[in-house]
Amino acid sequence: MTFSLHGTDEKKLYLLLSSAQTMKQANLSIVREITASGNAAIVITTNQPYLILRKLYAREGIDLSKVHFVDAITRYAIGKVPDDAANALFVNSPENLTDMGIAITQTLKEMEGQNIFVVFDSVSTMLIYLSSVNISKFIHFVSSRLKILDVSGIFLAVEKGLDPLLLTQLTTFVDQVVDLDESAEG
Amino acid sequence: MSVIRENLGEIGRGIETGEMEKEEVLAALQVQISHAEKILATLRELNQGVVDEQKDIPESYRDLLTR
Repeated sequence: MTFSLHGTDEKKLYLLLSSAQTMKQANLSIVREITASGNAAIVITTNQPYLILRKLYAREGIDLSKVHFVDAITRYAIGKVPDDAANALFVNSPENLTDMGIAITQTLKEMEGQNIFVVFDSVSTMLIYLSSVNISKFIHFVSSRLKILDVSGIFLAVEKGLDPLLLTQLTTFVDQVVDLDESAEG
Repeated sequence: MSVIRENLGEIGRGIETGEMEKEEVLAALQVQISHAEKILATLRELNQGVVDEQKDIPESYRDLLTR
């Protein structure tokens, strides 16, 4: 995986396409790079629950004080949230886009003044719970909000899991589309 | 499905290497169950849609598709 945010001062929105095999590694590399350069990350997750991500990041030496989570899968799939959860908001279901939007807005407000990168993991797992139409509307809402607030955003997706119309729409919402598997080969 | 397959592979590797604790394995499996249940529900809806549209499907296959 050769994608790097290094040296980009400009706030941009990225759609990162990968295979399912490289998605976890992509999440890890991006959050590591964001935090290592002194920036803050908001990880919006519908794929890996907070408990797993937190431990994964800790094992990789990522500074957890720089990472906030909006977790929309823990309550839905596991039923309860960890007692010692820190810097995390839990949404009751990946289908509840209203609450997810509120949680993202709230977290952005809490972290105001910091250089923030929002990492969205992932569009593909959202497709398990929502229609392409609803996802497209939601990503449009989130990306518009990030643009207004001048915040960078990274949307992760498994390319082969996206319907062509959704992929086209997502492409128009972001500044740059990066195929991680292609960039790794090239 | 490829996301679930990969997640299950990661859980297997986590157990094998001893990197994942029991609590993590349980949480990760619960999430995969939730993903699979949702996919199953969507497939059922699709099957129901096919059965409702196609009137020439034999009764035994209608039954199979809507189970």
